[in-house]
Amino acid sequence: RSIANWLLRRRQLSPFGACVNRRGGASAALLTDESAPERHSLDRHVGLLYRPEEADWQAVTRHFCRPELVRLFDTLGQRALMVRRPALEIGERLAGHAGDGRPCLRFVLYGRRGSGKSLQMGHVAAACRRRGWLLVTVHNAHLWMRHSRELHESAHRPGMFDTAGYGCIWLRHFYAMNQEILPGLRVTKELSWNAKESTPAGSSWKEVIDYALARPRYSCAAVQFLIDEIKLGSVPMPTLVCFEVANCLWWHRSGIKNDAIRRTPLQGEEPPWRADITAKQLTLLDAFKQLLDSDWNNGAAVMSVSPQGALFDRLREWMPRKLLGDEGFAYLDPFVPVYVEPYGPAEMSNMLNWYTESGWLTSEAAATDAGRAELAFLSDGNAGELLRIAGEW
Amino acid sequence: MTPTGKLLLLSGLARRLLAAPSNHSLAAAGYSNSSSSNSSDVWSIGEGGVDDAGAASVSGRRGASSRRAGFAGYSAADVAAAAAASNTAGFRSLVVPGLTKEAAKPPLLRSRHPLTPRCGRMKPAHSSWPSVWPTARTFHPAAVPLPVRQGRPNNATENAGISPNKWGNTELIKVPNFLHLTPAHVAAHCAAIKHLCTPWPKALDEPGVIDKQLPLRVVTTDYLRSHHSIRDIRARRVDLSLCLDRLVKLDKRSLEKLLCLVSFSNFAKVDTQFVGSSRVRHLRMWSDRCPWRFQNYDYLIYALSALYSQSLRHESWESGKAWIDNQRYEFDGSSSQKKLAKLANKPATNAVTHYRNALIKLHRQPENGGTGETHDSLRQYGRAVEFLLGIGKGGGGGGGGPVKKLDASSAQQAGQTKRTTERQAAS
Repeated sequence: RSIANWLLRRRQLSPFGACVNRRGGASAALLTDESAPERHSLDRHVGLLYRPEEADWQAVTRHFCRPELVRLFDTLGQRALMVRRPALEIGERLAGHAGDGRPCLRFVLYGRRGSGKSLQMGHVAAACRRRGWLLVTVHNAHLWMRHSRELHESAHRPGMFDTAGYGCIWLRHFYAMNQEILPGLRVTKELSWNAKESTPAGSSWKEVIDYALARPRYSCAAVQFLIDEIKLGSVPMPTLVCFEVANCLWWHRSGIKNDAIRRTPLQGEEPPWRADITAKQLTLLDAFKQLLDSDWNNGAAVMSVSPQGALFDRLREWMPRKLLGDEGFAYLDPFVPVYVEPYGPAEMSNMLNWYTESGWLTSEAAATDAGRAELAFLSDGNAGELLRIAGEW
Repeated sequence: MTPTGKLLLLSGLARRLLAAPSNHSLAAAGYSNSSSSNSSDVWSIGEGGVDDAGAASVSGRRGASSRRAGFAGYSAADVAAAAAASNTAGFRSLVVPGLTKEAAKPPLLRSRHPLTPRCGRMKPAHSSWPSVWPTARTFHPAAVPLPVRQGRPNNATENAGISPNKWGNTELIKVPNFLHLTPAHVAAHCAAIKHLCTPWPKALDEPGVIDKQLPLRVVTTDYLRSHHSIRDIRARRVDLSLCLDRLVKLDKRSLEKLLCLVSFSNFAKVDTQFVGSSRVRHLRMWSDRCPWRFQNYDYLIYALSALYSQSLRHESWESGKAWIDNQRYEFDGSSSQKKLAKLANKPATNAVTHYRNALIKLHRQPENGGTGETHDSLRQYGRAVEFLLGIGKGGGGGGGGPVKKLDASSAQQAGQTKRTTERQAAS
C-alpha cells in the first residue's frame, strides 16, 4: 500500500506527466515513448522504461544483456529497458565534452553483481551509435582469459600470444555493430601481415577485416592495426570503447597455461605447475588495453569492473580500487567512477508493474502489496536478482 | 505345646502359686502385686527390645490371652533374678541368642565420631584461623572444621547417592587449597608489611597522569585451571604497549623507519586511535615464544630497545627508498602526479589541489588520515577528476566551478540542484 500511495503522489507531482504512457490503474508500468536513448534526459526520463528500437537492439544493446534477459524478452515478445541515472550522467558528459578532438575520457561503472552495469553501458553505446560514433565493445574478456581458442605465439608482437579464434569472433561482432560506418573508413598506413603480404594504405577497413577473417592467424594483428588507426586519429567520428569486466586486464591469474614455463606452485596445488598466460601476454587484450589509455583523442571509454574478472578468486569485493588493484588504478587514473545503485522504490515499483503487465509475474501473491514488498526485500534492489526471483513467482 | 508355652503355663502356675508373696524371692526382688493394675502386660516374646526400661516398657496390651498370663514386663534384672530364683527352684532360664537381652558390650570398632563436631570443641585460643593454618599445607579433614564434600557417586547406591565426605577423601588432598590465603590471612600479611609501604601518590589518580609518568604498560594474565595440573600454557604471554609519542628523539624519518620495521614483524603492530581530532598511536608488542613469563618480558624489552635504536640509525642505502616503499600513500612521486604533466590542458592549481586531496583521501586508510575506498571518497575523486579535466556539469572548456568547499558559484548551485534531484529520484 505504501508503494502504491507513493506512486500516486509521485504521479501527481512528477514533472514528466507528458511523456508517461498511462495504461490506467495505479499499478501501470510507466513507459516512455522516447525510444531513442540519446534523447533521454535526466529531468524527464529517469525511472521510466523504454522500448529499444529493433535496429539498436540487434546491433548494440543485445550484446550488453545477459542471456537470461534476452531469453526473457523472447519469451514475453516485448522488450523494455529502464532509463537510469548512471547512463544519463555518462551520456551528458560525453555529449558535452567528448569527441571533437578532445582527449579520451574514461568512466568506470561499479556496483554489485546484477545491479545493471552492462545495461547502462548498453544504453550509452546505443545513444552514441545513434549519434554516429564508432563503437568498439568487448564483452567477454574474462571468458577469453579462462579458455583459449587457437592459442599460438604472436608474430606481430614477439613474446606474446595470439588467440586467433577470439580475434575472428570479435572482428565479426565489430563489423556487425558498425556496418553503416565501416565502409567509409580507410586505413592510413600500410599494414604488413608478414614478409610477403601486406595491405596497402588507403584500403577500407572492411578489406582488413575480410582478410583477417579469411586468415584467422592474423586476426589479432588486424585488431591491433585497427586500434592503432583509432589511436592515430584517422577515424573521422568519435569512438566509444565499452569494456565489460575491465579489471581482468590486470589480474594475475588466468585459465590459459603456458607449457613452456614453470612457476612456483600455489598452496595445495598438484603438478604440473605451469605459468598462467595473463592479459599482459595476450595480444588481443593488450590491444584493447591500449584503447583504455588516455593518450589518444576523439573518443571515450566506458568500463565496468566486476568480481567476475577476479579469476579463480571468489572475491566479495566490488569497489573499483580493490578490483583494479594498484596497477589498474594507476593505469586508468584519472577516471570518473560511476556507481550503479540498486533500484530505488520508484524504479522497483515500475519494474514490478512491468513484470506483472508483461506476464512474467504470474502468481497472485505478486499482485498484492505484501507480495511486492517481499519481492523487493528478497532482491534487495538488485536488478538481476529481481529478474531471477520474479521468474519463480 | 511349645517349650515356651510350657514355660508360660508354668510361669502362670508359678504366679498363682505365688499369689501370696511372703518370703518369695520375687517379692524380695521387687515384684509387686500391683501387677493386677498392669496385668495386661505380659512378657511377650519379641517385645521389649534392647532398651532397658523394664516394667515401664510395657506395651499396654490389656486383656491377656489365655496363653499369656498376666505378667508384668520383666527387666533383665528380673529375669536374672527369676533365673536365679528358678534355679534355686530348679528351673533353667532360656537364653535365645539375638532375642535375649544381653548386657551391653563395648563396640569392637572405634566410632568415627566419638566426639561432637570440632566446631563445638574449638577453644577461643584456636579461634584465629591464620594461626591454625598459617601456611599452605595439604588438606587435613580434622583440622578444617568445614563439612566439605568432594566427588560424585556413580549411582544412587554408591555412598547412598551423595558425595563422599572429607574423611579419607583423596580428591580433597590432591587438589590445591587456598585455606592459607583467606581474607584474615591477607589482612595479617598486609598489617605485617604495612610499615614498609609508602602511601599511594594522589596525583596518580588523575586520568592520564599514569600514562605520562609510567608510559610502558605490561600486561600478564594468570589462569585458574580445574585440572590435574593447575598450570596453563597461556600464562607465559606478555603484552607490552607504549605510546609512540613518548619515544623521544624520533624525527619524521626515524618514525617512518620504525613503522616500516614494525610492519615486517609478526609480534608488533602500531594501533591508531583518534581521540577527538588528534591521533594517538600505540606500539603494541606481545611475546609467548619463551616458556617462562620473565623470559618473554626480557625479550620484549630487548626487542623494543633494538627497534628504537635501529630506527634512530640511518644507513646509507636507505636513500634508495622508492615511492612504493612509503608507509602511506604520497601524492608526490606517484604516477598520478606524473600523468598531470601529460594532460592536454594544463589544469588550474586549485584543480590539482582538489585532485591531490581526493587521491589522498581515497588511498590512505583511516589510521593515516584518509577514509579508504568508500562511496563518498570515490564520488569526491570523480568530481575532482571532472574538475581537473573540465568535464563537470558546470565546467567546460577549462576553469569550471569548484567541486567542494569553495565559495558559492553557479557551478556549485548547479551541482547542488543535481544533488537534490538525485536525492528525489533515489528516495
